[in-house]
Amino acid sequence: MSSTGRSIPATIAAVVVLLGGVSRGFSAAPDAQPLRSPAFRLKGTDRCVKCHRSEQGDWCDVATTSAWRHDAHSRAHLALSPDNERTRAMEQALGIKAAETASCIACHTHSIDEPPIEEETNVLHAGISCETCHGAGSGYLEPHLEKSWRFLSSAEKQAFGMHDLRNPIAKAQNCLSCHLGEVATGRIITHQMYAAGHPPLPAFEMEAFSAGMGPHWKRVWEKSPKIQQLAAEAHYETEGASELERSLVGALVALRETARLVNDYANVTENDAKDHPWPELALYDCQACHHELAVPSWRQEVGYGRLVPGRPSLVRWPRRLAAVAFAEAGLPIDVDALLEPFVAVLNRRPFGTADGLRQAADAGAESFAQIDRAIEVLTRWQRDDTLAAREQAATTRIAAAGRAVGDFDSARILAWALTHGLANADAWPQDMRSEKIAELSRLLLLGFPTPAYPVPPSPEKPFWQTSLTAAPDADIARVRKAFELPPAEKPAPGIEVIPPPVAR
Amino acid sequence: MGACAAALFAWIGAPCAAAEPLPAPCVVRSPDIALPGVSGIPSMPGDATVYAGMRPQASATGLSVASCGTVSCHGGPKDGNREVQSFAFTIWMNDDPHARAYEVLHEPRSQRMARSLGLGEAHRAQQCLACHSMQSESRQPLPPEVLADGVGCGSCHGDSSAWQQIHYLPEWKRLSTTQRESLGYRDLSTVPTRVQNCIPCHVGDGSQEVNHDLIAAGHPRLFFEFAAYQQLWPRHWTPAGKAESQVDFAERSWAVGQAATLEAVAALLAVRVERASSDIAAARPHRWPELSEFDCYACHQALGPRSFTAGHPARFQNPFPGQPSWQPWYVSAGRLLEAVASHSEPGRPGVGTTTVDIRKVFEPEWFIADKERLDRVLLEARGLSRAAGASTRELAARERIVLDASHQRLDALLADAPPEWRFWDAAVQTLLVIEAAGGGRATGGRQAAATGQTRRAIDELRESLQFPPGADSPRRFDPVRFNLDRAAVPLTSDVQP
Repeated sequence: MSSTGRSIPATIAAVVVLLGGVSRGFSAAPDAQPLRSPAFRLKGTDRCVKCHRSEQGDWCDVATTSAWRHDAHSRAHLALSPDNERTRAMEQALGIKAAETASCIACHTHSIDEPPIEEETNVLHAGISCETCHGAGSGYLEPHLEKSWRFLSSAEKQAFGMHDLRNPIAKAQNCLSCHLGEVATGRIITHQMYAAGHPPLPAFEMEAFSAGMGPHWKRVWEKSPKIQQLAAEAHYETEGASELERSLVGALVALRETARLVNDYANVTENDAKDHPWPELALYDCQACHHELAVPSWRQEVGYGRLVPGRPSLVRWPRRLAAVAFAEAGLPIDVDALLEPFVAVLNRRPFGTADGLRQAADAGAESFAQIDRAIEVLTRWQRDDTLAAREQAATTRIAAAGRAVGDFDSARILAWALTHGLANADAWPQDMRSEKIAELSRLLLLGFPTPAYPVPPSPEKPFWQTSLTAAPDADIARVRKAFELPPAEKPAPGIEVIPPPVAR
Repeated sequence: MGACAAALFAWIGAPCAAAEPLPAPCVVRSPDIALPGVSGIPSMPGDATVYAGMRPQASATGLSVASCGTVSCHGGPKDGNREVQSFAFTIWMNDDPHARAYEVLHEPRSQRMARSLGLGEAHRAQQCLACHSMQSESRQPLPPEVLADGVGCGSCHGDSSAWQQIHYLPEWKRLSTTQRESLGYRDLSTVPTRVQNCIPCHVGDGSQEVNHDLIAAGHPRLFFEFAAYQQLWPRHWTPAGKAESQVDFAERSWAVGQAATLEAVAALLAVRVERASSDIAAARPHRWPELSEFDCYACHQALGPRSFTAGHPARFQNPFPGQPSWQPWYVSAGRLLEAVASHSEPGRPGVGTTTVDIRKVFEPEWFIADKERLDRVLLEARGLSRAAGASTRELAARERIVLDASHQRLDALLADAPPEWRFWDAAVQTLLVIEAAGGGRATGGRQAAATGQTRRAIDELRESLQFPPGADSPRRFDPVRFNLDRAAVPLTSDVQP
């Protein structure tokens, strides 16, 4: 490819599907478009590795593949191999071959036939690799080598098939398609898969997980001043202003995507109840059922909010951080009120009905538009001189939410977000911040092994084995107490004092 | 933990033999009160059993424990030289958890439960009072001082207004059971009559039940085994002339108890299904699937590698991954009952087969709530109700009940369907039948009881089933180890002479 400057080859632009501006309402017909578009074909990780393997780089951080090799994603496909004991057990229990089963492949590697593989590559043996997240490379492989590439807007890059993963909305959606589930791409984990031995999907806080896997990128604000200046010209403003604010956006996207997942799965059920019966328990809060039957029970003391006791809740970990995000965006939205239509359906019978939940999603479409409004507000914010005050306010609010938290997963999400907030919050002494982070990390197992997957493999237990089993033992009273922050030494101007929370 | 579940856990934790008061001369009070109309008591046609658990015509005064518990009647001091009935009330008041049934409704936990269920105050809510007081015995609201009696004398012995003034007279002894019952007195001297009295609360029925909503709010789970409960219960009567004097008392309590309980379990399932069916038809809110009908620990277990079920070997694995099984506590009871108390009428489906039939209706996709499924559940529930009812009557009529809880029999059950025995519930039921059968001891005495080496081995087996500290679930239960340990218990019935 020889074109230079900012021109986009018209031939390519004409055939691509523009994925921006996807509607987020909850109509009966799923309107979510898969990030993978059949318009592009995979080029294979080998092609990326050719350049993205050096250890240096600033504008273009090309040390990516060496970082990615230590990232658990690079091993995702190994879980499909019958060499793996757990896989063998699952295959036996489910009567399947994992490497030939679409719902396994969908999250553990590229799908077999969609998008098509352009040439002989090792793409099926590369786990979740470059093109899984960045988009199939046939459209952008050559153009992105051009100097002009960096000055294209994200919509323009999208037209070549490259996703803008600096944008926290797109990134959250990309991650959540596997880490939560996405009907449109066939990334549906079922309770049957869990019961057969699939590890539980942990509550997902995008920024902590990104940091935990060993980032193979730099934030714009981590780059040199010269590059930052160029980046401003290069439409990098979508990146957001800080890890904390990206995290808040991630929580709002997660809240939206949980509702979408329920809606879309309910649609699937209505069309094919035989293969996709209701209820699909994987759509519910794992710990609503999977908890120790300890007496006295803090769950009973905390209460069940608007739910009738004994009726399992839908996935609920995004809610409390999303509530903070609404407050930060200045929108007076009560997350529990927003989800009231779903709760009403769950109260009508245990697990609700597919039809009832789909109707609740439809009825709530207008309220759910509030989520997009909040996202819009938060993503407009810049890395300017109000950042410190914004972060201090959000940190205080997250701590307040943590003092009233009612479940392990929500506590973890809040704690990870608090960690981002405390990282830069010089309104509190450094020692206190470090201790707070260490204590929450101990109680809620927030840490990620570094590197997540060492080469050669370490005999240490994988992340999920150590963290997820902590849930039944978590002492919510201690967790709540650990969220207590002393008053800030440097109150941020214009930041109201947040009163102690009412237990929910 | 509530009294009923606590009782069984306590049983698992430490055997609690009821105090055995020494026989004492019977103190008979002088009959200086006129007998109102005793001679005219009509005999009841057909000798109908009237233990429906409810006597709406009962009166507050007839139910109150106040008149029973005077020092000179049943409220005397505990004294080995006196007859037990002279201090029956004292035992009830001091040692029997039933006496505190109403009191617990005032505890913060009960109040919180009632609030979270929208029932108002626990001690005023009919749903709570149904079992935690004698309210269900009376159509009229009982005054607070009678409610405060909890599950008092009247709950089991019946409203005493018509017989309170006569039951201590010599004439009372001349009345037949039927005559006494026509006065509202309930005869509790036999195993079947006792069981029927416990069941409405300890299993539940159409008017009172412990469902999953209630359990989630904080109520303990119900799982009833009459023989074990009875053994734990502080006895406030003389065994002479009562069920205890039968040579097969322990075996009879277990077998008749299990059969009658299964009948009630099936009836409750039928009521729940019928209710759900009509609610669904009328598009009303309902509670199906009623989660308390399913294995608690299928869902209530830790996730991840510490999950105790995940570690089971293939033959004990759930054949339907991710799906809870129907009532492992009662399915195993049915299987054991059919196997160890061999049915006298071959050809008729036994309780074991019928309980398994219900379980199978829920496999796979236990949660389906369509008409076809509910109709099938109802059909099977009625089938079990009939089979267990017939079994109860047949067992009650047997002159002598002998349980064959030999290893040979238990091993055959295990070999037949290993996944059915993967549950902690099933292991406890197995232990209970070994206990009831006296550890294989030939029962020459009044009551089967294991001794010596067998006793120690059974105690160890029971200890292995205890929940680990800090947990209220069998986190460490391992069916393989349990069955190895069980097979190692030296049962005398397996020793060839």
